[in-house]
Amino acid sequence: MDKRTLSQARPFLVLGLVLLAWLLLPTAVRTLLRVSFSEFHAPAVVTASHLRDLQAFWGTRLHSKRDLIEAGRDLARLNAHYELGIQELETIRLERDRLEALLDLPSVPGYRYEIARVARRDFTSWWQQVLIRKGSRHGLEEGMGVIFSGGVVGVVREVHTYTAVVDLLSSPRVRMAVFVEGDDRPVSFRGGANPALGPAFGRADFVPADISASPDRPRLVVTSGLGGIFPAGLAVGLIEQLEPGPDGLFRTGRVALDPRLNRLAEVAVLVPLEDGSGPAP
Amino acid sequence: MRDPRGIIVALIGLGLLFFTAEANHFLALLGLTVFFGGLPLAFAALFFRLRQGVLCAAVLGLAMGAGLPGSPLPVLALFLFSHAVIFALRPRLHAHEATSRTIAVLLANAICFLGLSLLYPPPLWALGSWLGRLGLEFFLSQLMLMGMTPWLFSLTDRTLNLFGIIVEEELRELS
Repeated sequence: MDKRTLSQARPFLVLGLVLLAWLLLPTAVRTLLRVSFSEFHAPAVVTASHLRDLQAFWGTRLHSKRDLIEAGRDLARLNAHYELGIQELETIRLERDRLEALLDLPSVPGYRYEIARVARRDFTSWWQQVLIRKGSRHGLEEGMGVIFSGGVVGVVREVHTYTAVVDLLSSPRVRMAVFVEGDDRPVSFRGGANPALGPAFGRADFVPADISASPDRPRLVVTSGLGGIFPAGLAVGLIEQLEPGPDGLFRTGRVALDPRLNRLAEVAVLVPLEDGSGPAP
Repeated sequence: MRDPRGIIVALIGLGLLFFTAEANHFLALLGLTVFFGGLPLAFAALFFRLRQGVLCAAVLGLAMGAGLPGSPLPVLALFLFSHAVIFALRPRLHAHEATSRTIAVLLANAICFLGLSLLYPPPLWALGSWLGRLGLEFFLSQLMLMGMTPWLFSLTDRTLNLFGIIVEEELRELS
């Protein structure tokens, strides 16, 4: 082998050596390296997120007093509506507790909502994740469910001290058992892709053959409550069409996810309550 | 450290990755992202000795891989591979010419792009829409890189000058 060929092969040799060294490194060192890099860039991401919030704050200050008064009036109406909803929920919760005690049923898992700002939306062709400004210091753990006003956002994948990474619902890594609204047979949901200039989508598998859906009459897919990550009944997406599955026994369909997922600014992490009591108001 | 050039370029690269991620935060509204990881890699591969270039590629690869699903090893390997390809092609590329630099950057970025697509494939049933988005993002990223290459190379060159490192002169000596 001549000198020139050897010189050109050197970088590939070094590449092999570096990879071999990485594989031979103890797991603790590899984990430490990974955590160090994650924690190293977290302050920069969080600072940028705070700066965006500050920018939004100053932008809002430019609104006229009239706009603010109108917004305050609208909010007061919404608050009154929600107050009534909370009272209604409290009545239902008491009734549920009474029935559980009467029938000796296991209690429904309760959750605490940890509200978190989205520090970064990272929706590439390769992965779809968001970085939120809450971490292990706030009681977050891997595998917890994340929701927003439109339904399910995804699942916490990684937790750092002050930040956490959430796999979005459209990520192929996210799988869960769901129900088609109005039916209590479990269906499998899997994230799909997040196409350009359009809403993200996933896929529902093992849909019973007697369930139908069409673009005119889409069917809502909701969480099943199985697995305990999400409570039952949270919106996942809409099935607009169902096709026969490969086995002929079940059907499969594309689930259109909420377009607001691409604009997430604030989410709530579902932190399970240890005593199994109902969700905090 | 006696020779800080690898770390300087890695830090500039980290800055570039940070601002790209900020841009992607807003581009997420359109369901689009851009990727410029090949830019600092190509600079290090074109102008530095192997050790410094590998150091720079390793720092960038680990920094990017640390925030992604799974082990950071595949991304580290991809960045090192991309660096190795440009380094091996260096004798054939005229690093002092703007066109050659741009070609090197585009090639390094394309390798990273293709590699990431192989590392994080979509489910087969979503392949169509995934390929559509991937193609658009690749085109956008490469197009923007053509404009960014002279600027980032100049910025890196000036920053290295502040530390008394004149890469072009050293390159002439090396060749």
